[in-house]
Amino acid sequence: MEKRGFYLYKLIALILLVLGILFPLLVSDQYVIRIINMTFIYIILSMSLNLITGVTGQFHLGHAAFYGVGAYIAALLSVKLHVSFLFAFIAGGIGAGFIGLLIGLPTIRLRDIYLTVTTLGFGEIVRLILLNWVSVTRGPMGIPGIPYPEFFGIKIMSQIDFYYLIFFVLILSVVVLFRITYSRYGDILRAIRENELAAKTLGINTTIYKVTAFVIGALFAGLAGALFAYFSAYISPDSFTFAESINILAMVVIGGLGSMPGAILGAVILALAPEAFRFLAEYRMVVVGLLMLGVILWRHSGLIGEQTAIKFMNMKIGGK
Amino acid sequence: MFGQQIVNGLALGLTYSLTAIGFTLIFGVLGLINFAHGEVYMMGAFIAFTLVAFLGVNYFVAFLLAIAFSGLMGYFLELIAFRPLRNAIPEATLIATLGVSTFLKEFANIIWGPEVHTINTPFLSSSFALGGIQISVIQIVILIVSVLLMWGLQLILYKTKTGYAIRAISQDMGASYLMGVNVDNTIAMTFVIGSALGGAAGVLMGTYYGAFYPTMGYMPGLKAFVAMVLGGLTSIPGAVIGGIILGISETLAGAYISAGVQDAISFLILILILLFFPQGLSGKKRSA
Amino acid sequence: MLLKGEKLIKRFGGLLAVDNVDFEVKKGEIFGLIGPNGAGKTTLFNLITGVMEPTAGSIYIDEEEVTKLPPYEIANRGISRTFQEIKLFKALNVEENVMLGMVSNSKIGLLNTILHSGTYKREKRRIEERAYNILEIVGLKHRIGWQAKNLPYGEQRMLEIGRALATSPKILALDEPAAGMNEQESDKLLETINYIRDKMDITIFIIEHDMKVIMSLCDRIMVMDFGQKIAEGKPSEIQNNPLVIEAYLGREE
Ligand SMILES: Nc1ncnc2c1ncn2[C@@H]1O[C@H](COP(=O)(O)OP(=O)(O)OP(=O)(O)O)[C@@H](O)[C@H]1O
Ligand SMILES: [Mg+2]
Repeated sequence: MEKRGFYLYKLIALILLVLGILFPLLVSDQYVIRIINMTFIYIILSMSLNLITGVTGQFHLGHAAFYGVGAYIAALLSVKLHVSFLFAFIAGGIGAGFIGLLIGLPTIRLRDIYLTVTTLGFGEIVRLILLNWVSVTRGPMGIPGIPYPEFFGIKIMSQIDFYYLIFFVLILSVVVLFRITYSRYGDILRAIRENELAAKTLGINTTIYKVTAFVIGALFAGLAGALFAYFSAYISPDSFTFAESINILAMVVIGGLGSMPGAILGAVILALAPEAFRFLAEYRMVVVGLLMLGVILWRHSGLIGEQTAIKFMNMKIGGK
Repeated sequence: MFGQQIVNGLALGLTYSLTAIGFTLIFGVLGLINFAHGEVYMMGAFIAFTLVAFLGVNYFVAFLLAIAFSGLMGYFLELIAFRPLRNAIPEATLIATLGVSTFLKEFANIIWGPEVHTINTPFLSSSFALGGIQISVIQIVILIVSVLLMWGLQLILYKTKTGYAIRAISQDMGASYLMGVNVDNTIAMTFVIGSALGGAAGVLMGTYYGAFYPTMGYMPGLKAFVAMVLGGLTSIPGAVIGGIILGISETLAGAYISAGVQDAISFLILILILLFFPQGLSGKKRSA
Repeated sequence: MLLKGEKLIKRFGGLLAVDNVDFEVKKGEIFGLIGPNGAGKTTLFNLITGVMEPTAGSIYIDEEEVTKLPPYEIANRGISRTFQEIKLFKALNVEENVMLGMVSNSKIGLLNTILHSGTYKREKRRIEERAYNILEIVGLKHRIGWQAKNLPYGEQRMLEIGRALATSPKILALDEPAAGMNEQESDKLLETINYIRDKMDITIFIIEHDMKVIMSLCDRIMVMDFGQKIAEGKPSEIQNNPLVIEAYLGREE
């Protein structure tokens, strides 16, 4: 039977939550807060990709496409049609979710490397559309002048305002993705990854679950994209390249495929590494490359692997 | 006009083919994708560039040296990023090669700078007309060198012990091991050969477009990956044909539709083909 | 008739793995399927569970035709199976493997999961309790919390049975459940199968090479050789059937 006591991870989450709320009061450096804001966006991206690739096992090389679609929808709606923030933000998520449906559908027929290369192809096509559909997206010039978010009479203007906005969305994403990942529903996704045929013979319509994982992952990536658009006030196709997809994937793999704490840690490390190594000037990306290689050679299944994360999640304090 | 595009497309396609062969050899042996392949291509190109532009070495000598250097890089790449991870999940190897790829790109950035370099080869870029089609010397060189390299590869694969071992491992690694094939050496040799071909493609492309720059391997790397999948993953003739199809359709799309479609066309073709042939054009068995 | 196959054919290139086989499984019985290696037994299981589509012929569950349905539809109509080559969800826990059998008839959806609604909590508790129940039946309660891949081989087979049971099937199809089990384990298996049929009212369709298991367990047995059905009857009839004896002896020199 269940042991009494308090889950350790809940305590840690609580501490992180309090720290997160107090952070801007402790550190007032605008530059630092800006970096943290970007890190939070990467955490959402890496957690959402983890659901698709880590938990469900659909190797996906086009996550930046979802991110980009969310960003462009939000930016275009607010700049061209003057749609309000909340609406544009949600539309960004839903639009990306729809693209996720399109990219997820081939999972019905394709698997393994064929699926992987198709996700890569879709991602590139989305980027090339953003780049070449000049009449709408302004192509390589990008979209400048994205207004400050405004909702319920609140206007988000400073880095600190953005900090709380992004932090709020981050918490929402963590809660939703956590509940999906660590539940019977997450078990279904993992079962499909482990042995799809066996899952089917248990009466599970695996196609629906695989496509749903894509849609949910895409939706959160789209929300992250919309946040990014408002936060940076300017977007261009350069932010949504294959290299960015790979960067997000690297966060997931370095953290530990299938592990949410891993996805979070991986995002923090890879988002902060270029900043941490800034003193190395032009050598810093060389070091980032070596860091990726080093971490994966050291721990093949990532810093906090799936099993480690699950064990950690079951740890309790107090009681006996 | 059409004939001209076919010639240009063929030249482009052949370099994709050379790059794709490297992917295919490695995939055949390990069932893994080498995401640093595009950077080997770039490094090969830069070595030739440096030898020619700074040290005044003869172009063809530089070309051979660049091939040798790329082969050597392949050897170390396998040693560092693949061998230690042979029993890990495929994603781990992928990230390792991405680490190497990031490292090499930045390394090239530091040494040669982010700008586009060219080498002056008046002879190679001169051209002549043949039945209304302009053909440049470098296009002829690409054709001859590609054919020679592919022929050489067939000789290695079918006439040497190493080639036999590579084919054996592609069939069944476990059995080859039991039959006394030196698996480690053979895998290393596969990387040497595949990387040498990739480096050769880099030199040819850099010369053809007159452009050497640190990210030059990125798009050709992706395209070659697509060519390999279209060709059925482990088939070398398949990869060659896949590369040529991509090269020709790209030039045609660029000429008749728009420059924007040119890059997208490879991926559109890929997705369309996979929708109808979920295992590639000449794919027989799936190995991943 | 609970399960019926009519003129079933499965062709792999030039090979007729299942060649015009008719059979019926009656409610409440233990129906055995035997035959030499490569006779087509597993292929027949693949056909009736929708894992493969038959080249020709039809399959009925409870008089309803299910021939071309996908595996999950067939599973939801009441057939559940185990595999000759174990196909557990290796990275998942023992109890999670079993709970996954209950997914298709549970009310836990995505929305309930995200909202942690009352339905979610109730269903979660119900599923967990039933999983413990099933683990009790297959004798694996002491393995709760273990990753499936770390169980000994015989227990992995029992876990697959537990997972299949969790779908609340009408028919449980077992593909060589005793393979790789020691004496003690296969005794426990016999006992469990009898319990499942007698107490849980589930019909059993079993492929097995172990003659002791087959003969002591089955009400009726069907024999296949080279894709064809060569005999059917009570265990005592099968034991003395010259065709069956030849099929086995003919190849065992
Ligand atoms: N997917 C497949 N593709 C091609 N041939 C197959 C396939 N599956 C089975 N076969 C062939 O069909 C025949 C019947 O195989 P099957 O697995 O049904 O036999 P079986 O009676 O279960 O044998 P065993 O007792 O060894 O398990 C064999 O010759 C086998 O090689
Ligand atoms: Mg069998």
